[in-house]
Amino acid sequence: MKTKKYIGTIFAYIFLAILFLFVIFPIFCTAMSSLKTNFEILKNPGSIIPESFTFDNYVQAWKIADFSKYTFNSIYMAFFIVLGTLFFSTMAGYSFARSNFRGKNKLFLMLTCTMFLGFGSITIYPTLEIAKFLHINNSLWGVILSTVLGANVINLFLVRNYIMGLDLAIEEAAEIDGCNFIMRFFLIVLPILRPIIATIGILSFQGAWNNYLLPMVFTLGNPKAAPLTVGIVALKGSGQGAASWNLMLAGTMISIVPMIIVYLIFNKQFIHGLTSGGVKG
Amino acid sequence: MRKANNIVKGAEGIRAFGSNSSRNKKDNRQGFLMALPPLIGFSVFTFYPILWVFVTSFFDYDMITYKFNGLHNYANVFGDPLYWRSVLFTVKLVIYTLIFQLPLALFVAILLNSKMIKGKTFFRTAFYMPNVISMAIVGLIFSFLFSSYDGIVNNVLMAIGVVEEPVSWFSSTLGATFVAVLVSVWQGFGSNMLFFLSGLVGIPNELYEAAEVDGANAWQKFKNVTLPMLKPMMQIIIMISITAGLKTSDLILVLTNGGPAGTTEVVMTYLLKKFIPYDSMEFVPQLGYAAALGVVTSVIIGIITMLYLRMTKKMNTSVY
Repeated sequence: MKTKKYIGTIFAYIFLAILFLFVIFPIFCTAMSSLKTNFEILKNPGSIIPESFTFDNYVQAWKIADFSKYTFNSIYMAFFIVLGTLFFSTMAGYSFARSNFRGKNKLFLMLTCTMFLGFGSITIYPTLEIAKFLHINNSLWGVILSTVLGANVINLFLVRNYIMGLDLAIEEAAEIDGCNFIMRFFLIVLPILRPIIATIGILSFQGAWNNYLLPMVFTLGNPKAAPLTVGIVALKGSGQGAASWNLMLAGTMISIVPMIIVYLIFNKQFIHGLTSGGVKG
Repeated sequence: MRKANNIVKGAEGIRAFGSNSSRNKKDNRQGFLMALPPLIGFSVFTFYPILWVFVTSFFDYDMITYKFNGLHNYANVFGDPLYWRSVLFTVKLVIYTLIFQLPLALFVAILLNSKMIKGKTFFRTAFYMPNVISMAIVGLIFSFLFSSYDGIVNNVLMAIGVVEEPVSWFSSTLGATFVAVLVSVWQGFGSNMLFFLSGLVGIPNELYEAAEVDGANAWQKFKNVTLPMLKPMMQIIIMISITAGLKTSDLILVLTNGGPAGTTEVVMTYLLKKFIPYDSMEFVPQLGYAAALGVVTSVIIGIITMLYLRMTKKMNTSVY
């Protein structure tokens, strides 16, 4: 009985180890290939470990192929999306949890109804039209505004639920001390929201950093404004596709390494974000 | 003291309540102001686009002139075999992915939940990692790995003798579908594993103890305790996988771009290319038609979602 269990455990570890290799293999290969010389990538792309290691591809991608610009654009876009999302979703979440303005419940119901509808590429064109009207097409501000203001219902919902679970007593005490509604939010509620802010911040950073379709469409006419994802993939479609694998591989690493580092540090928030905001399709 | 007065002197009580409500009014005004930016943003960036798509679907619109043409666009949608092929392929992709992903995620979750495995956090962290990488970048990585002639995967397969000559993965529908499903499983099983894990933690230990007392073996415990207890979680996971899967776009755009010959086009990429000049030089704007495709697609997704919800509801009522 005991040996049977022992064998079972060994098989379980072997299975998990194989699965681990399966998960890591593509990332490992990309990392290794990005360190090959361009000549080796073209001559012998099938080998996994490079004959000689070089950082040339990174230097070239950074200096010649605009990747410093793309990286800046990615950081810029992610920064404003995270900041805007946190600001507006906490404020509105607090309002929907604690205030009682006329029509609140109807508006909230309307918002939650659309939460489950995701339109993906269907509504991308009219969104672009609006951006044109506001003169923010061809720039990342179209992406930032439409992401921050247009698609935040889940976050608003998370904040509202969190606040409704809080004890009213502190806010009532502050009210008696003369704090008005807005002051109560900034002085009392916002500091308590730290855990949910961490979760929303992580989720929106992940979404912004990884977003492809929306920034791709918004920078079609202005490639200089493209974030990393768009800039890298654009190389694949360009004429000299096969010849720029060295740049694409280096770009891929520049794009995924920061994300993976953030993930390894804030692992708990990622997992919490998934299970609490799991409906987000 | 004041409270007591209010009860005794009704009129004063009402006045006191009145002043209180004027303060409430001020609070409500501030509350409304705080909710206003998302409400405006929602109407501009979510509600208006939906309305635009719906209205435009009844027009012939080439970016310059609007011409009403009734249900003509819809008639075209129903006579567009390429569109329905993309719908069918999307559904296939969702089903194939689920078939491989669900059992794998469940099995791994059970392993990681059992007491015999150490290093749970390590495995959990590693298995969820593909999920945090951009879908577009994932598509790029796999199109590199599966390069037609001298790609890494071809080389490995030849080295261990699985194939004799390099496979041209993306020039056959079967090969391209295989890679797309493989990528979806690779990228997505981690999140389903986490959902299953959170479901497993909620199963009370007494149920297993009771089953052991009854002499149940591991398989019987799995079949009669674990599976039924995980059913609600399973339904949520399938629901999320279906709704997310039907909206696949980035992966296909980068990995196969619909190729070969449009056979792996999914519904979202098919209609995107009717809206936007994605990769073809000879783009003819047919926005009314694209909008009609959008409306039909939303309805299809809605119907599939509702059918699934009703099916699970029926299953639940027949069991309990």
